[in-house]
Amino acid sequence: MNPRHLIDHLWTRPRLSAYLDGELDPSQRARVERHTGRCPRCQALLASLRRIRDGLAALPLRPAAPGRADAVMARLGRT
Amino acid sequence: MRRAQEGRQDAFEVLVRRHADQLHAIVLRFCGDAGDAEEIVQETFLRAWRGLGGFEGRSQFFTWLCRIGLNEAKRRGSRRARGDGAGAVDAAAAELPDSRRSPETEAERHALRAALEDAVRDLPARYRAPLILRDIEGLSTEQAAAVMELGEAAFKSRLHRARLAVRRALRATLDSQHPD
Repeated sequence: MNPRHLIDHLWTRPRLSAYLDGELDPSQRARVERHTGRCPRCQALLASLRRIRDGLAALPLRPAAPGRADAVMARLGRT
Repeated sequence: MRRAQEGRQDAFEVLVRRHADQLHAIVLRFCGDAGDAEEIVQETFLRAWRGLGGFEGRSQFFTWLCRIGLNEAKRRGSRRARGDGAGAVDAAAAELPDSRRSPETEAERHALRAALEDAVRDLPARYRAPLILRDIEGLSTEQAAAVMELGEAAFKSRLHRARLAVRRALRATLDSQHPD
């Protein structure tokens, strides 16, 4: 790994989640894309982070419970 | 909100009905016990009602509520004691297989879902919370950072480390699905 690649690699890896979430500014985003375009390890890490983030977002929602708010208000009423 | 702060229980009830289910979802994922989660939700609203006069509106009501709820869950210590685990998270892990090489079957998706649930449940609280708030419940970075009383940069860093921890935990499951 040449020094320039190593610098970009170390800069890119901690920013891959922010990149995935669209939270980098345009110049940072371009730098991540330049590096990941030629770094298989960062490509693989980005792919796995995407899979995890999307998998978590797709976990089933907990159903609402109609009586929950009533139970809270009853508790308030008892105090 | 103002009417609730003036002591109007009917106004507070509107807030309870608006937020109780999402607060419950967050607390349940955090503490992992349905009975505890219901009690924590009730206790959280009780504390919020009593502390409403001191709520200055610097954060959103829901993020304030979540902060009370997660603190209450931690206080109860309803989960088994956990190690910090932070030191292990930065270690480089083997890459997860690229799903494009081998399309997931429904069984694999189900296994991945179960593995994700297990991985989040088993994380230390400092990593479990950002994943629940941001990735599962869909709060914005600003909201989730406010709940955790972190700056946004610190929250993003914590979230990244939490995802890396999940990745490490999922290696076995995904390697067994994609043994190549």
